Amino acid sequence: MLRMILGRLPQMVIVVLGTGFLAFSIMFVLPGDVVRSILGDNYTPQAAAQISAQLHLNQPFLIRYFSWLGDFVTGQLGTSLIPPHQQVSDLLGQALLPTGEMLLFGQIIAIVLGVGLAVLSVASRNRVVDRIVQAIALVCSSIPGFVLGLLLLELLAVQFQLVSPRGWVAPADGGWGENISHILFPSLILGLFTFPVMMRVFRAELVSQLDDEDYVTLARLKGISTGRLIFRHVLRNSSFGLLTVVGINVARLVGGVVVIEAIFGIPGMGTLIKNSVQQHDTPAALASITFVAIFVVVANLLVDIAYAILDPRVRDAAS
Amino acid sequence: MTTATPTNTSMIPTSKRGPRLRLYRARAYRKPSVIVPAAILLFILLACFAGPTLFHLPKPSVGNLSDYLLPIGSPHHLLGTNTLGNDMLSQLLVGGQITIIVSVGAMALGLVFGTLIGMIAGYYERIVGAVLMRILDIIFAFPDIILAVAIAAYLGPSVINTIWAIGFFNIAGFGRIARAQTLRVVRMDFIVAGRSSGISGFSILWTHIWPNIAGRVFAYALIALSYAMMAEASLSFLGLGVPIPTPSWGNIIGSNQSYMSLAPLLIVMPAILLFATIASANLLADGLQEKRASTIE
Repeated sequence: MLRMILGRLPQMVIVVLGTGFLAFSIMFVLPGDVVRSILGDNYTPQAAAQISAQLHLNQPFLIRYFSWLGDFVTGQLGTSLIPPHQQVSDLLGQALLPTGEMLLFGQIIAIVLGVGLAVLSVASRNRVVDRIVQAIALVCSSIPGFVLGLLLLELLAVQFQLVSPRGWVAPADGGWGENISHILFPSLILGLFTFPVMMRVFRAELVSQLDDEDYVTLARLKGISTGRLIFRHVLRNSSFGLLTVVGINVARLVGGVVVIEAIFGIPGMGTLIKNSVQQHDTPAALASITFVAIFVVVANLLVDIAYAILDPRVRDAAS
Repeated sequence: MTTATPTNTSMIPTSKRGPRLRLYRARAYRKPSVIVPAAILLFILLACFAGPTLFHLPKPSVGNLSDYLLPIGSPHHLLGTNTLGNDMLSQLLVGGQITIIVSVGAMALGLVFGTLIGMIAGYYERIVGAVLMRILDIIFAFPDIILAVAIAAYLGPSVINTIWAIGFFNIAGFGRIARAQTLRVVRMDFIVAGRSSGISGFSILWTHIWPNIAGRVFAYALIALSYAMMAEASLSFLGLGVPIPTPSWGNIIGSNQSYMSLAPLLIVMPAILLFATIASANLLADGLQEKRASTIE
């Protein structure tokens, strides 16, 4: 197991480094004068020269990249270039909670919907139920997340006032209960937006188990009912397929978060990345983008580890 | 357990444009699961591109403020007007043109570069393949919308830049499909025979490998198209895609967001079009896939 993790490490490091480099290159070539926007009305050539030296702006590209990389690895994320010049680590810390909660709840909702509907459509052995489930998945996968968000927000929050249109209440302001009850609605939209892929893959997995596997034939011969067969045997053997889709879903969820945060005005990672890139706030943008890359890579590693725990064959092949 | 051999033998090309392709056409498109979504897509395409000139619609952004928020069915404004007095039908149709151009362009960009990279990565498995796959992994590890936000913010909002931003992250998806398919084909006897008789790598890639993976790549293209369409809408909604006053389905929704309670139709109409187009593309992809499976068996 340890050997498998160690084997994966170089690959992960390369992906994270590459993402950081990509982000750095993008921020490097972004048009606009950072020094001018920092100084504002206090602009003098002397002050400008001082700031450039301070931010290493007068250094060549590669030197700046490596000095940023050195700082990043040693945990010095720097301060934001935009007033009030907060520490980037503080900005990340504040943005992490809302996004983390949304990802967690969104993933749970997507799993429950995806697995539940897949089992329902296969276990019911009913064409109509199957068609309805497929139709729901098609509708949810064909509506962009933000459209779904806007329509549900208008319908449920404004017209029927079932939920609060505010997506985010900091736990410090209203307590954890308030916090979670407000984040659930945006998470639900995130889950609705991402579950169809999960459902399709998992349904295909269930069907292929039922069609191809010898243990299913044996169980059928012994007269076990389909429902019992699915719940006691096939589900456990399909957990692989489930893991795969959970892994695939991470990147989709993170992508969806940007748009959902924009609709509800949630101060999470998506908002941080969007704003810092737009305002040319290089330290904040680089740190947040690289952080997302690390998160995605680690999530994928966790999925692989889970594979290895579940299946000795994978474990042995790796070592 | 079934064996995989029947699939393999039928995939080997007998003559240049052999019976496989003809079989394709014969049974191919005469199924409701293919015809219905294809017809809807065709109708939307025709309406968007021919509609504005055919019906002599006003330009989408020359509205008069005194025509503010006319209801559906008003004279000269069949679908009413928006808050700036612009004709909604014209906005929707011209916006559809932009959305379709952007998503087809982005998909084509991903198709060309992604397939090329994927095929090369699959054919030259050693160092070249490993390096190319790591690059694709980097693009893949990155949540697409975030990358597009960064690229679009850098390039500035415009139609062509939106195509670049979305096309760029489409590359990874096509790259993975093309590589997996190339790896499947490259082990087959006729490729090994070609290699050992000294045919150059690129000639093998183009004349022997491409025809055998094209079907799968094009099947993915429809899915990529629907992703690109969603991405365009999301970017334009965030204000990083197609800039106003050029309409696109995404920015029509985005710019009317604050009038949601006042005039919900301004958002519902482009949303329905977006949904119909994406859903038809998805259904068509499903229908074609079904058909592929049945021709193979």
